[in-house]
Amino acid sequence: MTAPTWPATVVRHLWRGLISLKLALAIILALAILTVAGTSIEQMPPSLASNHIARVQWLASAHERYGPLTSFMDRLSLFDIFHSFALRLLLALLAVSLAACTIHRWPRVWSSVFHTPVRPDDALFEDSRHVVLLTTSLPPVATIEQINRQFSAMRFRVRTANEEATAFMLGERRRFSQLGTLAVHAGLLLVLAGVLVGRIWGFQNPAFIISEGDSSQLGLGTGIAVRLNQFSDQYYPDGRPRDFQSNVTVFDNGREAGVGTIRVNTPLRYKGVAFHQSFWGESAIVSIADPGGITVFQGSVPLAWHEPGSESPLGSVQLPGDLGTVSVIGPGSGTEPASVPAGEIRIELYRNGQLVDAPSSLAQGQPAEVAGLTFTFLRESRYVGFKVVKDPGMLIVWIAAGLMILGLVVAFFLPPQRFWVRCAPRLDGITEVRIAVQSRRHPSLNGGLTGISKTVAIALGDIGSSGDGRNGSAHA
Amino acid sequence: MPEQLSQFSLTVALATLTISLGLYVLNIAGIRLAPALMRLSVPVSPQLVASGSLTTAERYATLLATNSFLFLSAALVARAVASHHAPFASMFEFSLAFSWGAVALFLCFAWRYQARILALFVLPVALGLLVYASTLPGDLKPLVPALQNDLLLSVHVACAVIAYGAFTVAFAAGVLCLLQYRDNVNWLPPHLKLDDIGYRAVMVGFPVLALTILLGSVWAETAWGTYWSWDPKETASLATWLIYGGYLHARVMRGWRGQRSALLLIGGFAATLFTYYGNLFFGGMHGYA
Repeated sequence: MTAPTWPATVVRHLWRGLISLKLALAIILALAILTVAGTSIEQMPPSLASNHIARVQWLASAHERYGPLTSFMDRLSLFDIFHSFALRLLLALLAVSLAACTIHRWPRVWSSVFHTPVRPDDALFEDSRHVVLLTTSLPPVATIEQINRQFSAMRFRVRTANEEATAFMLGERRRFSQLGTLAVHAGLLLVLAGVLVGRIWGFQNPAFIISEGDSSQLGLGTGIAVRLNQFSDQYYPDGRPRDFQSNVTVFDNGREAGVGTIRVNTPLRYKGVAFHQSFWGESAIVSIADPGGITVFQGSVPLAWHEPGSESPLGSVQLPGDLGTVSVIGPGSGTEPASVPAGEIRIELYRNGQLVDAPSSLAQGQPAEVAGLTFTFLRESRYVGFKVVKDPGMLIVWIAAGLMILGLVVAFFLPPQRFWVRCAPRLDGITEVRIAVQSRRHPSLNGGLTGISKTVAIALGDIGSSGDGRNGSAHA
Repeated sequence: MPEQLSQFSLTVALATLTISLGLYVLNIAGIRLAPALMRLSVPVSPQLVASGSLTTAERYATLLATNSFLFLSAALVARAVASHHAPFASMFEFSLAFSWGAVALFLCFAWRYQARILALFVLPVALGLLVYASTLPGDLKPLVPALQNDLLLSVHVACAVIAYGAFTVAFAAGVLCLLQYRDNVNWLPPHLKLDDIGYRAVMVGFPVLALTILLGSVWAETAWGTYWSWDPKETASLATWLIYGGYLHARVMRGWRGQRSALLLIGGFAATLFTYYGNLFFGGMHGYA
């Protein structure tokens, strides 16, 4: 034996720390604390995180509540806990700890399933809480044979061994249930793996917007385009929403692939891409002509955004060449003085980021000229925002979670049963039968020992013995 | 008509549950006072002195608890009939259902493990939920689009009800275990038995909560397009599940028994209540219930 080198010692200590229950409990506690914080502090909507201006505005509103603490809290990402580095680190740590525990336990579980010794430690037969003592006049080997028949009839897997005059037997049932716990932990790891797969190979467009009658390319390398044929919304008499339906046609690389209806609880799935009904709103159909009278844009502009600090819906169009960008602003809720009158729109023309001109609002069908361009507001229409998701990891997540729950049920409700029997001759020629059960989890319940020993006692015609009081089951 | 029936059943359930709890408490008072009464030469039934045996008061208390369970079931069924969907669509309905789950799981455990004493802490929770529900608007409203999924609404919430009910039983076992940790209280079972009952209840609640979360995320994917969105109720249920996971490990791997595991059961139930109520504090996608 040589003393281990220091790297080996370090690795061993690291490993021990990793598989320690304390670490796992500490991680769970930390996660629970983060969760409580994340549910009690109002979190920033995820859509804001990437939008700097919206983010600053949101923080300003948070300032009213938290005062000077706000910027400090923001730096600790307390407003975005569920996307924070700390949470990810904890989840990763939990995953590593879980993996380490699973690897660490595997050999023991394996040998417990396949190589349980027929002859256990003698101490097992001495623990009176888990041992029943019977006596018989049959010799040990014949006794074991008799007990073997009983156990086999109860569909136990039986193995026997002799050692001098003493006979041993091991009866096992549902030994594969021990793999249940393993399934739970492996399932949990697989769930995380599935999440990762979705993150890496999936994509998401939370706001895929199409106006009624228009079609839109999904992009993201799919070659899929969708046309919104019709959108309908229905309400209950009390004004609460009842149903939203979008009738769409899907095109795959220009070819019509099919027609479908998307509702809130019935997404449309095509080639692994799911289209979910998410939101809807007004859009404006406008026509824009250049100074020569040539139409440079005609179509519907979804008013799907808001100007910072305003309630008026807003959409925009990028015109070809250096003609500029057009903002189309619809009527707001009417609380603001400068809002657009109902049924009209306002146009703002920008070139190189500078506002060129913004005439007063446009009524339907009345052309207006702005910086040489002719704008016509043809009519109102509506758009639908779909959430589009492709997540190849989802199937892994569902299967893994199912595996986990199945493992839990097996581990909890179909526990393995394992009885050891020792038949030893006494000096007076009587054979002493000890039946021991290993039940680590339910010490107060004896793991079915009472029932088993009763059956065995009847089969042996238990003649009673010098009691330590524990052989009572057959006589009780 | 079904609406009135539901209201009536609810009132009866509330009344019987209250009397049932009162009888359980009286029964314990009787057991505690029996030795003193005997010393004063008041004739006392020997049943009362031997703790654990079923007294008349206890028998009637259990009968009443069963009764209130039946009326709660009737209230829920009547609402389902009236609204044409599972009675799980508002905080009012979910509070009724949670109360129902607590009483149902209590009756199962009381019968299976001969531990009616659990009533002492399960029934107050069930009563509290009913009283809270009676302060909420209970009018029947049709379902908003996101909730229009009969199968998932029924199964996802039913699982939550069973899990919460089981955790309520585990909580009661935990509190009683703390009271009994020195095994010196004559009207309580030994603390190891209480500890075991708590564990058994978590054995039911833990997989069922996992199923609740799984079905919830299947539903979230169908309705909203993401199976996990860190919604407050969603997150709180995950934290609850992790806490009970910690409890199971501490108990099975480290042999935690008695006081320490009982404290974990109480902590777990606090998390359960937080999950139940969290959406009201913090909004989120579970805004309706």
